[in-house]
Amino acid sequence: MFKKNAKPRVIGIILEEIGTDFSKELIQGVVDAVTDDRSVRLIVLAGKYLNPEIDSANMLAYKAVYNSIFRLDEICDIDGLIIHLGSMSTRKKKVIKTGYSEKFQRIPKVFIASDIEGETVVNYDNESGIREAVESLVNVNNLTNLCMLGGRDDNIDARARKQIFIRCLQENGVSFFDRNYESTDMSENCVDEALRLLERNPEVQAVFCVNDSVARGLYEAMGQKGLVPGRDILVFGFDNTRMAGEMKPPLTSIGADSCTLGQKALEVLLAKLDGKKPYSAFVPTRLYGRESMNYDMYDYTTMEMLNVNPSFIYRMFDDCFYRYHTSRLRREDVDLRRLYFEFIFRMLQSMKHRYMGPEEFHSLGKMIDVFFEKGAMEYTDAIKLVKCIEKLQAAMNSQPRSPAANIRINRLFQRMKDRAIYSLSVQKTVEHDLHYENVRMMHDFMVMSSTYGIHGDQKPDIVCRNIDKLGLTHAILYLFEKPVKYDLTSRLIFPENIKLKCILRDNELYLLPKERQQCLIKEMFTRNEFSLKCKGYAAFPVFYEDVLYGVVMCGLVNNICDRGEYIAIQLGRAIYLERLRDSDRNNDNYPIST
Amino acid sequence: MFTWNFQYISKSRLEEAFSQLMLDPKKGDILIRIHTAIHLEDEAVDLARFVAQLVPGAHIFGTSTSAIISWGKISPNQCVISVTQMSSGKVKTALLPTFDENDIPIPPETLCQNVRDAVISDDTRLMLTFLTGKYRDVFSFVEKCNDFFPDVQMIGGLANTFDISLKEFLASGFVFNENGWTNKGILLAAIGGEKVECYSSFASGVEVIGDEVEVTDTFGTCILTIDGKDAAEEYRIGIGEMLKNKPELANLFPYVYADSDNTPVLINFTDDKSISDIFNERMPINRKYYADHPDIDRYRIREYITANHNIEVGKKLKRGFIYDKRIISDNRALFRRIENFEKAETLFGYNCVARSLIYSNCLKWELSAYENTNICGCITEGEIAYVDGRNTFTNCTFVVSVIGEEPATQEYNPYAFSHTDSLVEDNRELINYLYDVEEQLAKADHSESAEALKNFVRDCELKLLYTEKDDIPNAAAMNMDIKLRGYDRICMINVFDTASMETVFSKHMIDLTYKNYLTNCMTFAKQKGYTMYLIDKWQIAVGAPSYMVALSDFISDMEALQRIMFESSEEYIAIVPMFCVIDDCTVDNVQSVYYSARVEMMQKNIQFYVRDTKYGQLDEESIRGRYHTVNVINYAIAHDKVIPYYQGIYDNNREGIHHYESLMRLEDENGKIYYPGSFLDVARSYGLLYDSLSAMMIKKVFEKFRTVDGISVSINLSIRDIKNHELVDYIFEFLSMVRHPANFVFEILENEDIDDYEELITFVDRIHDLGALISIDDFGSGFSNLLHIANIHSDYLKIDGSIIRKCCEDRESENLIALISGWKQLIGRDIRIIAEFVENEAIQSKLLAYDIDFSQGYLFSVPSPEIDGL
Repeated sequence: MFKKNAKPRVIGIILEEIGTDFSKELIQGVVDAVTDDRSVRLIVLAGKYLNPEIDSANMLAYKAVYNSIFRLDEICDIDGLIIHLGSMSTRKKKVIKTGYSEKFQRIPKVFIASDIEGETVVNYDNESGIREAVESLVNVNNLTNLCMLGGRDDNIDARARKQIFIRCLQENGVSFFDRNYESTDMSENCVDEALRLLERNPEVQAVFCVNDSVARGLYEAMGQKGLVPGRDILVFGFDNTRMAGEMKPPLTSIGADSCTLGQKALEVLLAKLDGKKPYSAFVPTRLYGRESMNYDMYDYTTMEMLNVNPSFIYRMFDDCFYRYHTSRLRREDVDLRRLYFEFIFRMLQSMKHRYMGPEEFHSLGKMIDVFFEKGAMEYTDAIKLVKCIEKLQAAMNSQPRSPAANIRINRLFQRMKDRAIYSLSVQKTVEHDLHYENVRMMHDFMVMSSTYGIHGDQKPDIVCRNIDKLGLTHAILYLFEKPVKYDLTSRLIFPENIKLKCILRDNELYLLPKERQQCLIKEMFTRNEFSLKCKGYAAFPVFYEDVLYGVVMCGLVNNICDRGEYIAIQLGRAIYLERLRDSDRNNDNYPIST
Repeated sequence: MFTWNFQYISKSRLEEAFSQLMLDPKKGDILIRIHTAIHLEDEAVDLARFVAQLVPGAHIFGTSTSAIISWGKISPNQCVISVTQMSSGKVKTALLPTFDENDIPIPPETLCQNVRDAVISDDTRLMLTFLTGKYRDVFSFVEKCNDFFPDVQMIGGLANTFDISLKEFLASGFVFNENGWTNKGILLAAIGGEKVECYSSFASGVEVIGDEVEVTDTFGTCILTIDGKDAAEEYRIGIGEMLKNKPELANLFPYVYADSDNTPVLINFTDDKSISDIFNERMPINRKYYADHPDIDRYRIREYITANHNIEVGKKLKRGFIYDKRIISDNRALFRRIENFEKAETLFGYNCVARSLIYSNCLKWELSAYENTNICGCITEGEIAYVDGRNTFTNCTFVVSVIGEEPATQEYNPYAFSHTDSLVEDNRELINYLYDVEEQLAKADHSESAEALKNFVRDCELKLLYTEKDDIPNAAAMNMDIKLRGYDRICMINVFDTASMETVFSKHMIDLTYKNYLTNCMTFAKQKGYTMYLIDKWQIAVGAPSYMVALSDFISDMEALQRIMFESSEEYIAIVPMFCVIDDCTVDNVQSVYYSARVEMMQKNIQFYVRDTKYGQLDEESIRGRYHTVNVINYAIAHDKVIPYYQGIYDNNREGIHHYESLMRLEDENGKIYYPGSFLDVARSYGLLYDSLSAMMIKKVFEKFRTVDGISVSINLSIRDIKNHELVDYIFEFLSMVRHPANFVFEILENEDIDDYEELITFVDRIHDLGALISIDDFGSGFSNLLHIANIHSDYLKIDGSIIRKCCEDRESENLIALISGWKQLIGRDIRIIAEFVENEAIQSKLLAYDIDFSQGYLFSVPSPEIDGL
């Protein structure tokens, strides 16, 4: 039994990169799975992927300092870990497997997309989705010339996906040759590989990309050759990230079916923490059809629609708003699925009865508005929804029904389409505004933290005093007593203590008095100062060049995965400048006005 | 078949609606029914023409009315247009005259023949029939129809208009179609076809009272004598003298035909008219009556009763009373029959104006069972009903026909029948009145009691006949919305203790406050788009579907409403409305959750409460565990398996067992022993189980120690036991008889919710009087007021085991023991301290250091069913 006021369990999420679509999706999945009872606090520790082949020496140095964040998982108190190593080198895996500290070994861990023996892993069940895709391509579209943009051989998923793809093709009587395959580094930097594949296979009809990022590279390559995905070559990816829906044309992708990787991982980890027998789990997958490869997840029949079959409406919702059932839904919130059912049911009913009064029209319009106001578009892609509605309209209009009633129904459908497209533009505007807002905030922050001491104003900690200008809703800033210098050659040693300088809760800034700042570094993640409103935080290192100043913990809200690093860098610069001035003043170089 | 009803708003709206429906007579016959309470004769014809233009070839059937029925709702002063398009069936309509050119009514036989010729064919199933009040032979006409076309069911009645009166039969209604209107005609629509099936039935609600009487003389529809006595006087005596002042009361007390209990004959009572006033001498129709009664004093003003049927001499009648229980049961039977009809494509419903005048809620209630069905119809002045295979003309009934070509379902609302409060409310005073009348009849001394009744009846009538109509949906509507429309967020609003309000404030003031209370809520609900229901007097529910409103929004709105209600109480009585928001409710759980929430609100004095129906629900495993425990307890009680165990309590000074504590154990059929921890909570929640266990336990211990010398025993008592008078009496009686009462110690649990210390102290004093001893058990485990504990003059104090067990590791626990020990020194009263859970030597030595008198625990004695040396 969970005790209401017990301290939350600290669950660390270790990622190689925080800004990738996969990572964002994973974090969101875990956040969604955290219950509202405050029993779990998530801490995201994300580093940088070192790639000596591409990265410059300076970049490697930067990343090395950045990756010192990984030291925290060893020294800080954490109850459990969810680890996604992704393209981390095999060496790193070995390190984790053998464990660089005894403590790290003890912590219950769940690995995502991994093949480490003897560990609890949560993986995609690659087969179900790929099989669905191949069967559709071969049996429905009658395609025979299929290629694949694969991943690296050290990646378990990449290997498995390739094997399964080839096996499924063979089972369906389609041959697959070496020339049909090209491997990539599983990022979008694979335009060359994609081009090679296209050159080699001019007759290619469909390409399977090992993940959504690779598909992005393929899109670029196809663009160069004047090919349009979905028209000239069918394309489908893997992971079904949000990016897939936003690509142009939207990318068909294989994704989690009933629950996401993140949700499953947390479920497995919590079971482990509760002392249950550890078990590895598979997340079933399926194909999510979009423009790049038309695919209906469910068959809609006109008969069902005309008969206003309730299960038909629910199926349509599940198809269209495919993210809904894997999202963490609270009973207190508006039940969008039911709402959708209510107004679609009434619309179809009106169609059947050949009559819709203006009052009914009005009230349905209101329901549609509520539906979209309550965030329906979070769960689907605008284009997908529009397509889906158009299909309904076409089916309805093809029937010899009352045109007058149909006009109203069509207008309601139009309203839905408008809202869907509007949301798309709002999203763009919001993104733009947010970007602008970020720039402005950073500007404010830099100005304020640079105005120090003009008139002999010697307020200390000018940086901390202006943290609230960074636009972080929830945040905690930890700074070392003395900056720690990173040395490439020797192992970094963190001091035992760290100072909790300031806290942001709901945009309210709290500066801690000196006597309360003292904090053991191992208690960094377990402090009571964390806002209860926020389910998780991401830790970013605050450093300048090779000097580490501390760690900023940012609440997992807004688009922190994209912004966090930038904020941390600016923070590091500001602190560097502040320290520089302080030391200048101490050296009497500081011009003090009299 | 396809049916759709429109409330008439404007011609352009009508045109739009028709164009949407794309009605095409080529696809099948179309029947368009118009029932209007807003059009005058010529306007109605104009409307019919307009409709005929819109839908050429449609069969138009128009009647006037006072209120329409559409989609199961009744609305006065409206016009409804119902379109029925047949698939294969046929519709025939006709408007025939009921009077000849000399203004003489056409004899019923001739009319039947005309009707048959005009519309009836072999496969006619249902004939919609409307007449006007001017034709007095309706009853015989309908009767005769059974002979002329026996297989045709009929439904319909007499058209009325928005001019309605309780005092006389106005006969102002008219029927119309696109060709014109008449108030001396009959309008017919015969529906038939191979696939067409139909079912008709009715509900009346008339309870028969009194004996059979015979009509012995009539003048037209006026009944002159009954059993040879003056009919009007007889009737008046039966109802009470109030009838003179309120002749409309007669509507409640119709006659019924003795051979058919259910067919009411409405009676009009007048005392200010003469025969010639009632029956115009110049009217050709009346000449026959004057010819039959040449001797009658046609100008004398006196009291008369007039029936609305053509009552003949020799007809046997019984007195009737329209009675709510009967209305309910009749309607329930009607509903069952309608509900079971398979081809429910279209519903027709006609209801008597008299019912709405008598019971303000009756119609609304009756129709609520058909809400959401496509029932359409209107209010009539008399109905044609299909009773036991025969068509008959009746009054004061609700008639329903259901017809269809293909199997179809309608959304019926059976919940209507579980919410009959509004009807019962209407009727309560009426019933009382009836009792008085009966009494009066029995005494046969009617003149004196009449005056006493007068005031009461006036009040009662005012309430019954002129209640202002509130349009707030009731509990049945709420249940239907929960079930069908997914209204699963309900806020129950209630004001408690309104009874005490009545003792202080005037009725007027209370009514004003009540009205304000309702208005506030109604305005707010409307503004926010919520639905408000009136569940009971002072009890309101506000509902919203979870798919439209998030719980947090709903809660903040309800809080706002509560503030409004608090604020607006300046000019009214200050009321405290209690708000209980129930989330995720269903028809089945909403009441029970509300009740349990209400108890909690009352106990904790909460005015705003949010409750999830899933809250506090046990998981399956614990439910199963619970049932198992209940079985064990029941088994133990039934098979005498409540077994006292005894654990010795060690005297630290004398170094030996001083006395024993009796501990309850249960044994199941497999011989497994259960400890109190596993069953006491369950037993407590079932109250009576606990009482039985306690009683058995105490009796057994008493029996064992009744005659024992020198060994004491302690028995646990809870506050529930002390409140159990039977048990307490038993204890007192036992102690007063037993040889050594001082051998018995009663341990009272400190940590129980002791709400009445007076009672406890009384008990303790009585125990002391009888010579037994008291111990405070589990001291330190609860949050009791220490002063209370000190005031209970206990002989022993047992420190809670949780303190003792930890006293070696935990400094705080040790301090507590020191404190209790010190307290003992201070009070200077003879109180002895017991420590329980003494499990090892380390604890024991700590206890000895603090001079604790007794130790109890495994170190000294293990509980066992037997005691050495006993």
